[in-house]
Amino acid sequence: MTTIKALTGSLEDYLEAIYHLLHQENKARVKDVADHLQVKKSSVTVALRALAKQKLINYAPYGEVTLTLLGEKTAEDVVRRHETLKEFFITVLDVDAKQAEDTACKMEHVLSKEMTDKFIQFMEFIDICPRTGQDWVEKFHNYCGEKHASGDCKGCLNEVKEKIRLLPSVKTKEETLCALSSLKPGEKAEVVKIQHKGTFRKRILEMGVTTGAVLMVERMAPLGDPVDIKIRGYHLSLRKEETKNILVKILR
Amino acid sequence: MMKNQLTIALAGNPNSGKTSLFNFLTGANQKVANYPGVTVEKKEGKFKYREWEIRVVDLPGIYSLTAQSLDEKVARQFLLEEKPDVVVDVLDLTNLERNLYLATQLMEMKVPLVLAMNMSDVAKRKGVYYDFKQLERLFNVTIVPTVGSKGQGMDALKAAIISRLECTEACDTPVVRYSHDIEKAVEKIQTILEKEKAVPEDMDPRWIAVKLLETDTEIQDKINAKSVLQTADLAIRHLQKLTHDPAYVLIAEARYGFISGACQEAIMTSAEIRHDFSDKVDAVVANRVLGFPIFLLIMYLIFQLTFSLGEAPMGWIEGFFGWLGSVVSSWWPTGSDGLLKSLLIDGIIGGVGGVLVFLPNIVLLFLGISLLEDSGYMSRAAFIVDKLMHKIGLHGKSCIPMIIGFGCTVPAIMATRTMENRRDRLITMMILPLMSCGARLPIYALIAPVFFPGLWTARVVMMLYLIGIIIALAGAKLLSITVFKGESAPFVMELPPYRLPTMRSIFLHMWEKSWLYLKKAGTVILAVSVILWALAVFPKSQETPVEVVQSSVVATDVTGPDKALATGVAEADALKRSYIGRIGGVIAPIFKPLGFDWRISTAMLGSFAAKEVFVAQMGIVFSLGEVDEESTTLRQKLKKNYSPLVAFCMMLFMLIATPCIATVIITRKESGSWKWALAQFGGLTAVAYVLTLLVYQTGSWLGLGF
Repeated sequence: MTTIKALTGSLEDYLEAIYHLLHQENKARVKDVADHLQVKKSSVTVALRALAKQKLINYAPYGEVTLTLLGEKTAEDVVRRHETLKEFFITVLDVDAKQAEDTACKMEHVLSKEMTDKFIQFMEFIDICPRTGQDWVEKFHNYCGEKHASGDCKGCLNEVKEKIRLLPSVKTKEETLCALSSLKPGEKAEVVKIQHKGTFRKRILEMGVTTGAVLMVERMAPLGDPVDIKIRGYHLSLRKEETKNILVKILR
Repeated sequence: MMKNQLTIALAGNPNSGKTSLFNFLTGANQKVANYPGVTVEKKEGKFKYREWEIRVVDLPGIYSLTAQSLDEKVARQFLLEEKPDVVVDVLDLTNLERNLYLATQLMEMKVPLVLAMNMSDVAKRKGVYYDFKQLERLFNVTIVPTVGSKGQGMDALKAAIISRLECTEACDTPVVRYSHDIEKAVEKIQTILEKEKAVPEDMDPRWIAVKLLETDTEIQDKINAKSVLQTADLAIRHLQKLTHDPAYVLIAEARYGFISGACQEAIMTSAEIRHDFSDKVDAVVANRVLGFPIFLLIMYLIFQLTFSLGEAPMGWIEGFFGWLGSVVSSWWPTGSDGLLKSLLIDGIIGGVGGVLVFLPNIVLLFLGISLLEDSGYMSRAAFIVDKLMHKIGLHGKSCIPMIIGFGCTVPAIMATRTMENRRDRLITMMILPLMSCGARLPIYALIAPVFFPGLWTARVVMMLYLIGIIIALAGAKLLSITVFKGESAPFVMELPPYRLPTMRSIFLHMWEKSWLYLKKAGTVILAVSVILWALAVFPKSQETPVEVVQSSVVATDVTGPDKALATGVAEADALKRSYIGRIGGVIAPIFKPLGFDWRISTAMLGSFAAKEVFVAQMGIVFSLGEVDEESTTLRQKLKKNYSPLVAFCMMLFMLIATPCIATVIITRKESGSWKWALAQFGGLTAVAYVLTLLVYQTGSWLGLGF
């Protein structure tokens, strides 16, 4: 590991170039490396000697360059740092691809492994965390776009509230959801969301009232409550009080 | 060959036909009923197959093994603790998806399983084709098609049970594979369980891991290692974050997903939604307009039939005991011990005979109840009245024990076990004795026709039933807003398809109830009759020999011949001096404001043993002072002694007061404490006293008494 630490920024660039060449063209000669990095062949030769000295590449003058096992690993590490940074710049910071590439090239050399890991985790977190997610990133982009927007939190919160209210309908696109209790006898529907918790949820689950289950309202009791529904081929009766919190999509 | 002993358990959903299968396997006299939760306690039977001696335990009908209701707890505990050699899961083939849910849970528990696909005849008639081979492959389990009502498939089932015994490792691979995330969580918990050696004895670690993810509190309590519970908790939270659903929802939905998939592969149906016979019946019976009137009409018809159809056979039995009494009396060798003769004629024939007269009523009442149960109407009744029940703090399901309560309070209290909420259960239990039970029927049947002849008999009796119901409902409301505050359980109930009750099961049911009644007459009532007779005859005073007792008239019999009046007074003195007379003398003042004399008061004491004893006791007390020629039946004697007002008060008091000793004991057992049993006893007796007092005093004041 000590040898890797000693690697300078430019040597890392050479190693990265060799790695890409080997993966894309299947070969890496001095000329190819020089073309790739737009430097003189003599500079490449010097760098290759240095890398060979550190047992990162197998190099003989005028021959093809290959990576040693250690070299492969080291190169991968560099590439990973590069890609992570570039992705972060593009997807999160909304920077254009070329600028991202250039900055990544420079920054990759100073990023420690720990920092890289943190970056990766942070990006994963943005994706998973319900409080962030793509919406959040988008909001940031808008914020940057309209330079003078003063972070109108109130409006934003209202927008989010509206979104949450519409959440089930977001899931099912344009179809409208309604409570099971509002269905008339003879209407068929698919269970979309059950807003119950605990014992009652468990009880109706084991009776087969699961999301996606298709049911039909058969009739109301003579006094208007409870209601008799047909689900999974049998009759089940539930009170209106409870069917209010079972959201369904009417099937026609 | 050596006999091998085996224990198998029958598990299954309510209405899957488990009990009729049990009857055919064991040939036992078992009750079958068509509404959720008839088998309230596990029942046992035995049968022999080849060299095996097999004990069968019929578990209560359950929908799942989550241990939410008492039935589920009983069933799960049995499976976990007694480890039956084979479990037969009985499934209703006409309702396969939901029935398979329990099967998947049993498979996860790794119990040695055989599936009995019951009612395969009904399913076939509906035009559904089942690929059992495919299902067997998908579930990795042996499937036997059966017809429980006709006993088809029993030999195949027995053979499958034995062959399941021999299959061990290959037969129990977990069937349901959950999503990647859940499987990862299960694996993690399982690893820690094994590392910490926290797996309770004989339990499957994977099953425990799944149960922990389902937040099963009973299993949580069994795990001692904190790290396991913490891991499970973390996993549940992680899953909640990923999917926005609690883990138990994901698991249940995965099970149903697997089942739906399997069913799609193995079932071919000709029509998608079938409007079958059941739906047509429900269109009328559970109709919005007709539903309620039909419910009331059915109740009325049952009681009407109980009385009108019972009249003729009752006359025969009454005649038989009258004949028996006179035969014994005339054949009795003159000069031998008169005391024994009195015991036979007055104590046993008068007491037990008086109770047996009402056997036809009891049989008919239970016929009505078993028709309601077996046909599937019982759960419709719960469906129809739920809103009303809910308003007064009860639960639609309370309706079922309440109707059973018209037969006998003891099974009714046991039937409350299907209710998930302890509060609902306790309220129902407390008011159940107010459902006028079959043992009170003899009392009405004895008294009502005498004082309220003709059409009025049924009306007065119906009124008593209604009074009982009204007090019950009022009591329930009162309890629900005072002692038992809180929310009633949600109403989740299956409406099973209507089924034509089989003659076999109706007959079995009636026979069983009649036999219980006869047994009670032959044991408790006989014993109490003899004791009461002895209390009425002893201590003997020297100046009133038995002969005088035999030929005297009742003291209050003012129409009797003058000549006999003197001996009549002597007889009355003798009875009053007897133990019963003395006890009666002590308690009579308490009941005097209700219009009751010492005879009624003592009979009421006796009725604590069993309500029918009231009738027996009245028989004994009046029989001891019998004038052979004049008043032949007890009824005539009653008419001479009491007014209609007193008669009504007698019935009213017997309806409300003091549940019999069996009720007190079962309430203690089912509620888990003497507190409730004693509260029920004291409360009802107090209500009875106050109400009867009000009725008698108001009635007397209005000039209805004399």
